[in-house]
Amino acid sequence: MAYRNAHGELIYVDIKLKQYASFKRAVEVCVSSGRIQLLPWIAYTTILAVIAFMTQLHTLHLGWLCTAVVFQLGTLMYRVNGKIVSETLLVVAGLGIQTTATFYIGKQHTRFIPWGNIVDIVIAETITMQRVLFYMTLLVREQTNMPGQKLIPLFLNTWPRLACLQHIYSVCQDVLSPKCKEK
Amino acid sequence: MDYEEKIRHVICMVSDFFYPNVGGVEEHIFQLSQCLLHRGHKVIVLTHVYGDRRGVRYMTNGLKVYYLPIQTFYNQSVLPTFITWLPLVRNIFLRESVTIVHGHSAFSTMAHEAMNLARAMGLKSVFTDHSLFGFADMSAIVTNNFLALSLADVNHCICVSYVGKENTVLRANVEQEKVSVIPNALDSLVFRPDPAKRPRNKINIIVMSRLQYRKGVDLQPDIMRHICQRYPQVNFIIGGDGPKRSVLEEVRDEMGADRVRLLGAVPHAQVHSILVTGHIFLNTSLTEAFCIAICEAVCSGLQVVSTNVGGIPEVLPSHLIHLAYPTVKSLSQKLELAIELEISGQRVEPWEMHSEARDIYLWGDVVRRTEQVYHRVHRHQASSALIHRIPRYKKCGVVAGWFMMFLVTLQFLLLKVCDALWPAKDIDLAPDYPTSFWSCGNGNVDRVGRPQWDDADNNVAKSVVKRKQKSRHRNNRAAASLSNGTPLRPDTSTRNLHRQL
Repeated sequence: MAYRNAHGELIYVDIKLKQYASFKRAVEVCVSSGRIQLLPWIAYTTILAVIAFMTQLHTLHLGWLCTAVVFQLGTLMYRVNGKIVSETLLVVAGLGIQTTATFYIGKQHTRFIPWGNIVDIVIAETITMQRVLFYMTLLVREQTNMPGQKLIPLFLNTWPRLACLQHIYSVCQDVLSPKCKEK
Repeated sequence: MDYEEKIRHVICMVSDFFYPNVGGVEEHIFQLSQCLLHRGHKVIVLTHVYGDRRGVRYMTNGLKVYYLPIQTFYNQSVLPTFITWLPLVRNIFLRESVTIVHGHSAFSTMAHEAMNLARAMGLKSVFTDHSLFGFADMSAIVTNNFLALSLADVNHCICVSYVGKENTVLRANVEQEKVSVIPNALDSLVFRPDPAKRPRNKINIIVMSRLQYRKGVDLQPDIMRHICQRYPQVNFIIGGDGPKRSVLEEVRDEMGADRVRLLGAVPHAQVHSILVTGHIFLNTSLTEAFCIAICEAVCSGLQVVSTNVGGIPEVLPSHLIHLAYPTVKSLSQKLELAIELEISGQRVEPWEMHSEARDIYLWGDVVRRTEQVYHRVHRHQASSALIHRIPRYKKCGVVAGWFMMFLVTLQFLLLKVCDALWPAKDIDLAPDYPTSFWSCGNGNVDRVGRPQWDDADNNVAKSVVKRKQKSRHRNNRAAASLSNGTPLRPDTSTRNLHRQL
């Protein structure tokens, strides 16, 4: 399903859930921020190239030109390397919750929270520099002796909007809610 | 009128001063918001960060408070920059679909800036002035100029007394038709007399104020010396703290700690328990827009001796209060009169005083009148187009007026930039806090109270998530401070409010 994120870009939400099962035991939510945006890259490159030509960079000094090119490539590599294209939330009743962040280059970061530590999933609000945004967060018990709870914010790279979060929330609660009944 | 009864306003209270800070303005905003919530309006509060209290918090009955990350600059106020937090406040106004912005206190920079932004965005603004100012000294001139600039484009002003109205109209140059008088109120069910709590053979005189110059602390030492020498059975109890504390400590050392007791700062929740231990309340303020302290004292059954300044003479009927000139001689005379009445037993009985003062300043009344101001503002046609806004600043003088016109134009341009960068359609509307649990509907909540999203009935479902968030927040360690020991006494006061309403 296609939604928009907080920046107004399209994101895709894919929910893998066995709907026909009489009781829901596991759900996987995958939020992907679409493809990497090619157009801005081309635009930036063109603008930089034009500026370089206007300042006669290639006739100035070869070393400067090489530095600029290397710097540009480095930036590109850094951006591509750090780009997260999709975030996955896997909720398995009785086992735990696993969050996976998939990078553009295929690398994956995984984090697992065992079932016993999970309290709930909620939607909360946060104040940023210029905006107030909704985000989804995981409430967990802290493992140390420290009493109290900790928040693990989810989908911080894709920033889905409220409608999308509500959809994810309801799907996750289907799996989580039996946990509530036990209490 | 019937039609107006049904209008549901979305009110945004803005002030630099709010809980966890303690004081008259804070108390007023909290109580007013609670009453408005009870009447079915939606109320949110904007204030700046207080220590680790930051982000979005919920208080009693779903009062939503935004603690914005803005640094304070002087006296708990933020630096007046006019444009730096424009995008953030615009975002909040849009996501909460605010209709009326209500600023409190002339000292609060946040209130002025938010009201101005509200006008630029075509919303209505109301301003409540809680204090009186002079005209002569430097700080008053500066504040008055700023106030005049800020109030040039406000839809309506509220003052707490007629003297306050006069003062505001004069110094801020507002049309008097735009100014309403709505007094402060107190929770008369909390302030009940309790004659058993006070000593039989002694007479206690209570003084309760911030210890600063404008409260007339400099008059107190001479009065105390005079009274203590003349009446051996009279003791003083002084609550409050401030820069003038040393003046009173001197008297205490002179007279002995059993004659003059200094309590230091008293949280508002404990004020009543101190009031009932006394017989006479002394107020020596040199300026006061509306003295809620004397109302609380009368309601608790104390005789009140007060200076006759500012809005004080219009606060209470003359037989409940002894008014004096702000001099040591006059105050001592009236205090002696009160002591003699107390000794001879001719004073008005505490319960009689309570029953008379009880119904004068009710929150229900204040809210009804405030609501009428909101209705009026709602009807008010005041164009917020730049072309109509700019001429309103012409009366503010050449330099300040033109400077303000420049700022307003800049603000207009910035709003246009914001509209382009973060269009209103990309801003999610915040769900309302449900008025009661069962308003969630039957079909949409499963057995454990979890919402079942349903596109057809999205609003209902949205409201449930808010509720859940709130209950979760309660568990949260950070929010725990809310429920235990708040000086604003949200629980008791709201219960009483409901009875009053």
